[in-house]
Amino acid sequence: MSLNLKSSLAGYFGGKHLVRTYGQTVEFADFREYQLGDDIRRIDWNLFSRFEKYFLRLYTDERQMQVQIFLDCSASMGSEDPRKAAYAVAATAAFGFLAVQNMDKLSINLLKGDISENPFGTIVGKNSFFRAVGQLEEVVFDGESDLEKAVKNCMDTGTNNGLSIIISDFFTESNWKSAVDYLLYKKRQVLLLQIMTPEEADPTYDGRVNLLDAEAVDTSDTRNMKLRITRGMQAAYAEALRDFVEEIGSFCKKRGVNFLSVNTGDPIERVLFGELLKVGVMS
Amino acid sequence: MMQLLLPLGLLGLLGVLALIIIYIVRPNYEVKHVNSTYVWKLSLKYRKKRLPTSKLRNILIFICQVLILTAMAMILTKPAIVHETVGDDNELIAVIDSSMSMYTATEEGTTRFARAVDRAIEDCDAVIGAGGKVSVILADDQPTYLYQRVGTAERATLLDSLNALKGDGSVDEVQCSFGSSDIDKAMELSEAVLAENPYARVSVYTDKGYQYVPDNIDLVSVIDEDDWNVGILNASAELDDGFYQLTVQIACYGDSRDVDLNVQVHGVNAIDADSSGADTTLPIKTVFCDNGEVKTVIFRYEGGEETDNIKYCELDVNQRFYTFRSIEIYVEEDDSLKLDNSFYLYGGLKEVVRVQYASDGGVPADPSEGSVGANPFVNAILPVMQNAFASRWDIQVTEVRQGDDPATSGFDVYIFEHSMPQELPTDGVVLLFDPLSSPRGSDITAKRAMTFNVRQTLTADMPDHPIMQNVIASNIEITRYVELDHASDSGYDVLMSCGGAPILLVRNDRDVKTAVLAFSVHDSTLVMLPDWVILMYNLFDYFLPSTVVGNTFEVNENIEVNARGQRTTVASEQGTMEPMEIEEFPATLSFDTPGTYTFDVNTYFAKKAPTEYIYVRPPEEESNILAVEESLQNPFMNQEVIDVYDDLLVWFAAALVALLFVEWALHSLEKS
Repeated sequence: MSLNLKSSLAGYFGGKHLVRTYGQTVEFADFREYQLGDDIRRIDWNLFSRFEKYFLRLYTDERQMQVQIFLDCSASMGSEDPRKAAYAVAATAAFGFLAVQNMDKLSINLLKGDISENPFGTIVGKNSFFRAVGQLEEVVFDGESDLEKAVKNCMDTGTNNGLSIIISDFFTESNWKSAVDYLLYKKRQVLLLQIMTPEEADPTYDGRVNLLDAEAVDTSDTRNMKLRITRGMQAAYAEALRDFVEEIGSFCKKRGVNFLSVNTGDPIERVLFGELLKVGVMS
Repeated sequence: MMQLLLPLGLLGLLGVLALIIIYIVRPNYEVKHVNSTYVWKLSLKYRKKRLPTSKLRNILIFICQVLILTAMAMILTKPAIVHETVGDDNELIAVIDSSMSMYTATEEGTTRFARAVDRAIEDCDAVIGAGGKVSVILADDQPTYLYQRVGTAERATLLDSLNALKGDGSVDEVQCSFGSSDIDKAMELSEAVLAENPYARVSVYTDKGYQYVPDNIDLVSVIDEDDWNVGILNASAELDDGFYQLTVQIACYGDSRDVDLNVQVHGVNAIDADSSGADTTLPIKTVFCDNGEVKTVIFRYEGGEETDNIKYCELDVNQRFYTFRSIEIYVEEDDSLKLDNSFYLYGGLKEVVRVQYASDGGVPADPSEGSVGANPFVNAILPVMQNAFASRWDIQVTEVRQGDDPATSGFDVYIFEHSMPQELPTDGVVLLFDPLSSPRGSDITAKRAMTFNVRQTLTADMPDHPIMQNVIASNIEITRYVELDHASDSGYDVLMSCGGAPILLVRNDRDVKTAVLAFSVHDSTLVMLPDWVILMYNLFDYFLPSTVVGNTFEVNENIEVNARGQRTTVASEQGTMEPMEIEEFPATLSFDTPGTYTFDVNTYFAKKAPTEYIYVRPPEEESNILAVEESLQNPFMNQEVIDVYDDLLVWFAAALVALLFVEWALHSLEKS
């Protein structure tokens, strides 16, 4: 199994991703007439005997893809509910494994505040990957993240060379859509993975509740809310969440971006082997 | 108008204060840490459109809760709508005093009772004429309603009845009682009418005065200012040094004057009831009676030192008497109440009870049979009985000399010891001590003498029997007794026994009165114990009861008749009642008319005892025709004007339930 790219790739040689350009693989692609400067070793002499013209036998090319994972490390991703952070880390590891399995380059960018940290560098090969994953478990989810600035501030976004995956809950006021547009501008294929906990998907608490936001600085932070949660309020929440997710989906659809919203209650293997196969990110 | 029957219940409104405090101090919001409030903020836009009435609902819930607490507090106060009891003050309860003092008459002969009835008729007629109701209570010693809440329809009947009560108004015609009146009980009786109509008026027509009369009782006095009365209040005759002295209490009410006290003694010094004796008149004693002061006059052989209230009438030697059949005491005054101007005394002549005591007194034929010699203990106990019953009987004892045959007739009590007659006497009580044989008619069989070396203790089989009263059987020890056998249907009760063998047997049938003591007092510790005297006293008292205890009684006083015969005939010497025969004893009688009454007793065994006399006198206090008592019982004390309440609890409870439902619905809406 491997991550799949819908577009052509201008990556490094050595990968396993077939591209439209011709290369040195053994997989036949096409013929073309010999031109000056071509390697005469690639002339198909059988065709020459039949047509008395020089034709070159062309083979498909394989490139190495750069997989960039942007992991939202804000407090909303796991400060209050470790399951969410664990799920995000697991998804990151899963995507990373798929990348290194296909000899792709992998970079894991931790989005903290408005910067994008890459503590593991470019990961190639399983040994590097496992070492990185071991450290990934120690990532602290704290503070807030500005997805737009953090992504744009990433030093090595690359151009037309692979897949960018943003793993977040997208419960942020930052203009993450601008970040997506930026990545698209860089001709990267983008996958948004939204992670929510079951309680976020369907809150069960009610009554008079003082909701303290995990990213709030203090109790007077405007992100904290005092609500009397009634059944009507719960319905409004469900409606708001549905509209919010649909809006993300609509945005992604317009731009050819893959979007997946998952619940930490869902087994991650079902997400990998089910949802990702459906959207074509994985093949 | 609604009233709160329990205003303290309003303290329940403190619950409202508590509710407000709870709203103030209760934690408003539960702290909940969440990953992000981002979606909740988005949801506010959706929610705002749908919650314009939430604040109003909250206020409604609070108002509901306040109303619920208020309803609870109101329920605690027992709210009710008060209606005053509907009553009519045009109703009269006429209480007519029917005591003996109401016989007091004017010179024209009109009694107080007649005047009382006239006033009652007048008032009743006025009330009925105005459409009201009338109740009439006749207050004698046991007040009763003559009429209760009658109106126009019974007007004629009521007036006729009241007119019949007074007759022509004279002493001979009025239907007034000769006893006392219980006005307080009449007041209690009137409470029955007051319960129906608390506004009814109560009028008491009486000659009694009261220091305190409740405001709502109309006391109608029927006293005539010229009324006065001399009354013989009481009299008694006691033996003093073998002769009777006579004590008389006399008083004058409404006047102060000299009163001549006359005494006639009938049957002076008669030996027995059959002898007539002479009549004698004692000296007239003139006593000055102060108004309301009770004077005591003593007629005796030797006078005494007089005081203001004790006077003596000295009798000479020939005027002394040691028995009498009757004493008539009277005054000849033309006063307003003549019923208490005479007084009679009886009981000066005791009935003779003849007792025969027969003991063989010889040496026993066989010494092994035990001691059966003459018995001084029985000889000694009989004089004791004579003294003990001296006030009731004249007990005459005849002891049969040794060798003489005891009589089997002509005595009231026969005592046989050791040797028994051939046949049991049939005209008296028979006491058999240590029967060595079985007389015919005794229904017992003397079988053999049982002798013991060790004293045997007796057991009481019927300790509650009158003969066993105060006799402790376990104190009595014997060394010998005669084993007796008696048929179960012989009518004997075994009062004491020794090891199951009957020792004391008693039979008290209508025509056979027998007691059998199965041992000789020689062979027992009985005679050394007080139980011997008690036992003999109980035997005499059981078999020879008094017809009546005493010779002077008040009108309506209960008299216990306990004759020693099958039948007693009671009659009035003045003919105020039909002769009455009593066959069940003891019986209780009372007489409602003063006068002399006779008791003719058919004693056991068809003998007729002498006639016994008693005097029923008017109540002493009724002679005081100007009596003033402390207070008149207020029947309104227990008869409050009770308002009628329409209970509102149900309505408040319904409101409470409705509010609870509304509150529940509002809560449900709040959560939806």
